[in-house]
Amino acid sequence: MIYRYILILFSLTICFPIFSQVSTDLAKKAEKIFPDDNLVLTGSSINITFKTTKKDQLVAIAEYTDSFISLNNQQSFPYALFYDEFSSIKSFNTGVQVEDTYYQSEDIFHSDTRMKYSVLDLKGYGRVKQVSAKKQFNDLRYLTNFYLTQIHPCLYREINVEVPRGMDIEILGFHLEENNVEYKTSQGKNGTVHSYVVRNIPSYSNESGLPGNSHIYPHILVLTKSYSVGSTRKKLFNTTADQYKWYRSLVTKIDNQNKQLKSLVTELTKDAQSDKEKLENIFYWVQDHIRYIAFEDGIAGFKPEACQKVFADKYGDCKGMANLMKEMLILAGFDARLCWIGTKSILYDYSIPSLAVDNHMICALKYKGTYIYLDATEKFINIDSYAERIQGQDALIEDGERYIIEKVPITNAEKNKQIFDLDLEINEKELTGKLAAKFNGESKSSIRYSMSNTKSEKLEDAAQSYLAYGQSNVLINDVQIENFNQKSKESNIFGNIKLSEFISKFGSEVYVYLDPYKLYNKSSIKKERKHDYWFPYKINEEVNVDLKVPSGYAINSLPEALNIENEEFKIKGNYVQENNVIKYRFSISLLKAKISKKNISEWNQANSKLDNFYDQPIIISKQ
Amino acid sequence: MKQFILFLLFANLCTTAFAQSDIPEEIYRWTEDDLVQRTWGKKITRDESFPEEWNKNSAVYLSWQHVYECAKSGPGTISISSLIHNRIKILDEAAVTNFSEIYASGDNNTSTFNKDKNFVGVKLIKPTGKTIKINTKGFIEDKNGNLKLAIPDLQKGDVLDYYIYSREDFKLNTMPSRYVISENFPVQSKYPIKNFDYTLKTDEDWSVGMYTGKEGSKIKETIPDKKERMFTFSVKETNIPSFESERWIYPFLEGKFIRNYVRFSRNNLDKKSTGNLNKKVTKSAYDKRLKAIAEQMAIAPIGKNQFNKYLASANKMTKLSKSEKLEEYIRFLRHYYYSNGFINARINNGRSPGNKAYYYDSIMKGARAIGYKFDVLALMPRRAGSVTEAITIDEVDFVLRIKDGDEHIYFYDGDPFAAYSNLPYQYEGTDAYALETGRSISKLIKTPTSSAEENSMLHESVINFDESDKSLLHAKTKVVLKGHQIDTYPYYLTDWCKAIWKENKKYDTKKYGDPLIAKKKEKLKFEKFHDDQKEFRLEQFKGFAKNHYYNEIEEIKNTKAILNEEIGGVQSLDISFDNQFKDLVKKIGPNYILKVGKMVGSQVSLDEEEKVRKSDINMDFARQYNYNIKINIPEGYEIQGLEELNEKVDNPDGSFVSNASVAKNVLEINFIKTYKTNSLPAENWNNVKAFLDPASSFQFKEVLLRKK
Repeated sequence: MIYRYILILFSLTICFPIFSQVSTDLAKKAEKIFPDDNLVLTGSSINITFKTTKKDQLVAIAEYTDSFISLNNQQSFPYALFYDEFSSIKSFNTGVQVEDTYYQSEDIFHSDTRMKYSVLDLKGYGRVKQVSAKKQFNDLRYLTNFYLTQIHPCLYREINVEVPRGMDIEILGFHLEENNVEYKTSQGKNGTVHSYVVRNIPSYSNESGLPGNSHIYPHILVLTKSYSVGSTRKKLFNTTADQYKWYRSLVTKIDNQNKQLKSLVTELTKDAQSDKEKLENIFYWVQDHIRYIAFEDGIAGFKPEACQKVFADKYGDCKGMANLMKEMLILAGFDARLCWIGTKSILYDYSIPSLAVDNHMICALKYKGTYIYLDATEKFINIDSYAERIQGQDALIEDGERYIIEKVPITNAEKNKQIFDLDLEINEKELTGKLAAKFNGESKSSIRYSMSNTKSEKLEDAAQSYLAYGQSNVLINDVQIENFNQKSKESNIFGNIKLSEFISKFGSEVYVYLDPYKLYNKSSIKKERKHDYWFPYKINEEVNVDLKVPSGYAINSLPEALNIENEEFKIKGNYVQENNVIKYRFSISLLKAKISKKNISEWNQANSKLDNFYDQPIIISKQ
Repeated sequence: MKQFILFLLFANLCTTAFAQSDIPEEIYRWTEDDLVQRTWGKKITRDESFPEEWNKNSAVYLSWQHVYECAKSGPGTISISSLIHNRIKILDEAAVTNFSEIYASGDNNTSTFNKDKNFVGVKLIKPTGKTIKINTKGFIEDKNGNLKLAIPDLQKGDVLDYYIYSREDFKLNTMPSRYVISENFPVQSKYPIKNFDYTLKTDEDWSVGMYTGKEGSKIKETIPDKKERMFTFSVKETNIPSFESERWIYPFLEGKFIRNYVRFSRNNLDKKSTGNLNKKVTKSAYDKRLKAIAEQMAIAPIGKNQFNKYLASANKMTKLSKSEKLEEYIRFLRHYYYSNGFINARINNGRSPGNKAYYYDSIMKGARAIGYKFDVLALMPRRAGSVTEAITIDEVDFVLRIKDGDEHIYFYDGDPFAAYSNLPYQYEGTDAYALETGRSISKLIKTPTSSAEENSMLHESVINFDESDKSLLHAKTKVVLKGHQIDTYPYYLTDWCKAIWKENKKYDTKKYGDPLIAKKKEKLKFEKFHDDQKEFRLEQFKGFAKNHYYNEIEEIKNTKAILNEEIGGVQSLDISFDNQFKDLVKKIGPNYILKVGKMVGSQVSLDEEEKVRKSDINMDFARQYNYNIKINIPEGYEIQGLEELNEKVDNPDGSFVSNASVAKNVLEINFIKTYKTNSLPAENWNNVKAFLDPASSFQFKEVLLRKK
């Protein structure tokens, strides 16, 4: 017994040096494992238990204990815990002043999420600080995922979940094995304790282009299916059907008064020649006239705003906009439904009944046996396109008491085609000519989005700057912008182009560089990267240049062609002579909107060849 | 019956008239109804017309109004009230986005939404004339305590009309001595303004300083009479075009601005006086203040006695000339006030040492004792305008000046790396009132401007091709920075801990972290910090090298940076490093292209919009960039394309000279760009473009290494 006591104390001292203020040895150990970090968690734990309240409600209590060590002379950092309408902070022990404020996110205008936080100071190398907090989850639907990775690197991290007898909980683990997370069970006071322990785990990465957290970091997802309180059995989300039932209970409470939309819908559809036209008119009206402003206020985070309110305000979040779209389509005689969906950043699908599987709402239209997905929050997307973030994802579509799960179709990169066509000739030391830029799909959305906040008097300047890719030696003028406000067509920008410093003369030879854009030049990915690289959408871009060779000049050499193909990317470039015209054709496609970790090396090799390809000029000389 | 109706009508008219005349003049008294009447009432203009050429703008301020009021509001109570009332015509989607959220702090974030009394009203006027009042209960507090409101149903063509009113009350006996209103802003906006109204109303207990610039708007002043019980200072303008910022612009030197400083001051404004109620700082006020500084009796802890002790121990008392003694003395003071204690402060995150008043006092006492006279100068940063336009002495700064032979030496609040003569560039070429020791009247002078040669950067590099891989270049680089180009680099690149320890030894002061004397905790802290600084410096060197070559640096080593400060010499920062880079050489068949243009750092490249300039050109300081690059040509190759590197432009405002030659298998490239002055009128812009454009083009130049 005494030995066990000593052992426990000893373990605590190693894992949680709570009682020491300065620990140089521990600092040295931490520094060795995490040489690039100045602040490390020596120990971090979450212990989750369940208890029944006086109101016969089962709540979860999460107890957090964190111990920090400073690896330089001064560390000042925040320690925060979030809560909202469905949870509360029971204790927050930091030993310094505690603030309580709203949590502000750029994407959300207002949310009821609050946070308690303290600013902690550790003055001196090896200084240790331990803090603790307790959070109560009052509604177990909101007890979802817990990550083993933290903002700071950890020497030791554990998550323990004690599942009471009689409670039906499933705990799913993700990315545990590849991160050497040890899992074991043991008997606790009230039930089985599921323990997840990891050592020497680095912090969240700050690399760009990362997949969503659930795709890459070790974590658990708690699924509370049912539990008993007294003699009552309470069911939460045992199956997806239960989850849908709860969603439906919120949706049926929306007090939609769509009569107020009738005259608008009539106006939008009365002259339409086909269903397609009616649909487009309604979809684009919502896209154009309703601003996306996200409010997440308690249950409003899950319950859509009534259609008449969104209409009156002319703003709403994804749920409100989906609901408005649905009601307008119904008035127009379509079979429109609300549709929940998790974007690509979320690993899970609806085979897992949890609030963690979705984060978005759109409208689904059942038309001639298939579903068309309408996401009006994508401000500049065509009606027949789907944003990359929802392609291939499960859509949970309402169907009265039942539900339907369908996958949003995946489209290929061809749909996002962006083409720059240049017609050039040599004019002394410059290349001059015409430019025609064409944008489709998400490349169109991208340029429209980047120009949407431009003042109208600056629109041409913005187009010039966009087409010059910010290069001072590329001048575009006499710009004409076409089809920027018409949704269903390709968007075009035309202009005159002048390229300076793209020609070098050496004796009788003239070196000419034809491509002002050099797409994905110097885009290698760090070889130490641990995760896939995600792009915002599937890329498909072309640069086509026709250069008229001046009379009296002969072509000495044309650069070698480039042709690289891989399951995830294709790069092609070549120069061809047709009479006195040199034709440069270049294209690059990112077929899956990502470079997988296993392909990074190949991508970098391709990039090196691409950089070299761009550096090769055509050489002409005077005859 | 008719009579009854008539009576009712009459009564209604009287009531309305009576109600109108019931709205008190003082804003602090207003109820929300009063406010609505005054901002949205029937008599208020709703004119939405504006100049036709403004139709291309994103939005137009039909009116921009800010009214302040400072007045007694009750026994022992003072109220500061603020009313913002803006009407904006929305002309495009960008404006819809921009104005779809409004903040209760108003447009220029100068007023705060405080808790004594606040009213906010927002309405939209549709193109059809329909008015929609917005529910302002939707204001949401963000994490900074600011209140924001999402505007529903805002669309192109709407007029957004909102007011924000706030009142803050103070007890008379706790009235703050600080400025209750302190504003300094150009009268301009990214949207054109049709009617601009900035008004201040006060009773007699205020000191008001308001100024709008030499060519600024007229300030209309009224003094109380039977109708108006307040003093009023009002700036009204119409048809102000939109303003887009340009490179190298000092808005306060041209164009219109408003400076307004208001402070509580019992009976300061005399009801009987006329005109000139707001005054710029007078010359006599400057004279008085400058004299006070010159004669200040502050007891600085360091002075001539301590310095003499140092000189004696250093055995230098008789060997120094007068001017050398002065310079030694200043270095000594720099150590005591700024260097000694610097390491401690950086390690323990304390405030950097320094005490301007003591420093100045020590300088003045020491200068006197050595036998120098000094001047005290009052001035403002050049970008803020002339000192003759200051409206409060709190806007003004002070510099010391000693005449040594034909030269003036300037002294200002420093740091451990400050040069002996230290006139910050912000204070060059500006008006100053200078008071000589022993005199009572100051003179208006212009401070000097440093020359381009005094602010030079000389970069010399020797570059070799790698023997086995010609795409890899090895460079040995030396950079010498002088004058204002030294900037903050000593902190980032030099081992200043070592330099300060050297000073500790010289002046026999405490060495922080000294292994011989410091406590263990302090030693450990110092060691850790010094090690961390090495890594930090390496990263800084990489960034420095990258900027100098405008290219990714593969590897950097042998880094060194020394701040040279010989007595009697000119301070310079000498930097050296060895580095490699990969992307500047490309194989083309049997030959190589060498991108020499990328070896001269990034250059100013003007875009199309900048080809025409409206505003005067004001830069920080004149300066010169001088690159001398020697590239050893590999055997078996010759260089072609050198003629493209030869360029010469020289005019009174700047110059650019580049040339290239080959001798003994060494390609030597020179690139010298000189900004000859810090200030030019807009008409000289063509001269500036004349040397900027070829320097910008140089970045793209390349030469060919052709195989023989």
